[in-house]
Amino acid sequence: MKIKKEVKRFGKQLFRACFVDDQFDQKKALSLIQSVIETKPRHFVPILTFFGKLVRLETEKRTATIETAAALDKGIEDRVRGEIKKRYPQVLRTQFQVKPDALGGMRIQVGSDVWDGTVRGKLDELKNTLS
Amino acid sequence: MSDLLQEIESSISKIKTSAQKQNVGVVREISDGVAKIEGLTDVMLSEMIEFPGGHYGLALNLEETEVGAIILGDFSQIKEGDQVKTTGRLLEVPVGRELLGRVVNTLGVPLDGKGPIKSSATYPVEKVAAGIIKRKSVSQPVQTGILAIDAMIPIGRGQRELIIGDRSTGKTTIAIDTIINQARANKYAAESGDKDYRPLYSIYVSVGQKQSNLAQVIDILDKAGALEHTIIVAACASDSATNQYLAPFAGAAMGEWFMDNGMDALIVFDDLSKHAAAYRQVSLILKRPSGREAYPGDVFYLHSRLLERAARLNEKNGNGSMTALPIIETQAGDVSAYIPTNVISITDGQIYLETDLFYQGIRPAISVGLSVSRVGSAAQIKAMKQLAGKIKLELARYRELAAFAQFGSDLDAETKKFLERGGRIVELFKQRQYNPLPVEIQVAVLWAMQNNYFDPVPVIKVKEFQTKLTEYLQTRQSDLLAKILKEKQVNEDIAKRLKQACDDFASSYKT
Repeated sequence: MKIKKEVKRFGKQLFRACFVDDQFDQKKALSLIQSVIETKPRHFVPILTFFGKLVRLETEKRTATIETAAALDKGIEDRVRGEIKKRYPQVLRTQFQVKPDALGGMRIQVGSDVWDGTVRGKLDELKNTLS
Repeated sequence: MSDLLQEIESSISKIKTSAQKQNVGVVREISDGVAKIEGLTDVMLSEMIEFPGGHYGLALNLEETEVGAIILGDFSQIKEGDQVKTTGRLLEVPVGRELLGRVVNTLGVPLDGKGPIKSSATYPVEKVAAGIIKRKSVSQPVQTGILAIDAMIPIGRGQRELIIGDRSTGKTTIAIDTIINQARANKYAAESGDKDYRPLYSIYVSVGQKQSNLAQVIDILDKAGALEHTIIVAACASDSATNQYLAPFAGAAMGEWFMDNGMDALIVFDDLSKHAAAYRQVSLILKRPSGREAYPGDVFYLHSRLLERAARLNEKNGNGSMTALPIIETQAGDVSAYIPTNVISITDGQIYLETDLFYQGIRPAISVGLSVSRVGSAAQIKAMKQLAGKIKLELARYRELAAFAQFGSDLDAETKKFLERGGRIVELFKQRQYNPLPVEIQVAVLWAMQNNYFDPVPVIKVKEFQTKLTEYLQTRQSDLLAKILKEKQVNEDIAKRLKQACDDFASSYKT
């Protein structure tokens, strides 16, 4: 328990130190990781693992994933990108994925928020409602 | 067929077609009924979370990078990587009269095989107790049917009275006797058309008990005709710690429905020691800091918020009530342990059962010295107050003298007489299990004791005399008993008739 608290605290400090002007600085993060590896403080492996988890969660928060049944043309992609940027200014990366089992429509996920307009999603909702 | 088609089309048309925003997360760890979830940024405390396969959980730990949730029901199908979503709802259970006579689990799902329950309403499992302004002081009695309790440790509607003692001392028996007596009183009032009588509905919450024990309790209630006035909430030993933790709250929600609708309910928590142990297990798996005896720091709050929901409401808020009989099992008679002292400080009195008394044959094994009801005679009918007022004091003096008499010294005639009288009172308070006495019989028997009709009877024959007196009154003086029940006090006329009846009986009684 004591070890875990120290690991979390150090990991959070490391993570906060990677932000410059509220933006995550990748170069700074890499240099901090390198210096931790070189200096090898106590419990550095769990610290780096926890740090990696925080970076992953932060990346997920700033990534928008759009799933469609078929590939979208560039015009629609740009429009979707623009709308997402309006609602979620913190989003840095937008990725488009083709998932045939969606059948139709679009599913947008930004962090934990999901907007599911796929046919698959509606069929699942219908199944839950009728059952 | 065309109706069915219309129904389906109507259901489909009601479904919203626009995409709704959902808040999702991913299960990262699952063990022992607790899931650690990443994401769920908008989740609130105690919110229901939907897992794949129609399972639900409750979010209990909201941490910076993850959410700890306890899973309701079978957690063996849930695996790492499963996507979960918030529901925006609190956990609710079905409530209403439809649950009477049924055995349900923590979520209100029937277990008795008597078909689904079509309840008209649901209540949240976790609810803030009624505020001070809504309450009224306790003044209506709960007749347990156990003479020792109704005479010396009276319980009122809206009170919390703890039943505490070691294993196998008769704690559950006291609760079952109370439930049986309420059912009998409800039936009698319905048959006689007594509009002033307020029926009392019972809820028995079984936490961590053996299923065989629960089956026995159900059988006893069924045979006594009490099951149709009772809801049984079962979270037995083989159920998950989550279900055992939530069961008392679910039972309290069911009782609150009666209270909020102007009716009276009685809820038995059997037992809160196992409830605390289940909460300890859940908290330790959630990695919450542990305190004394490994219980989490808020174990007092666990029981205080549960028991505070038992109350008597004033007329403006429906005049309903919920009476709680929590049960605590002690180890080796230690009432100064952690959980027992917590619950003693919360409740409005305790009925303390001693193993020594039990094995001496004094059953119910109630320790009159250590038992107390903080509501007291405010919860007694006038007749009981008149007759039982001094009995506790007499018994206390008797116990003192009995200890002194053990030294074998010569005693004066008056002391001997007092000791014999005390012995008769102790004998009178012995009672068979699952045989509650109606209040009118209790009044008549106590009147006979206070007016020395038991004095010529040897101590070992006291129970026989009482049984025969009861039979005589029920067969030959039923109108007198009805009058006592109606007037609830021993006035001149009733006293005269009781004297006549006891004289007649005593003259015909042969030992």
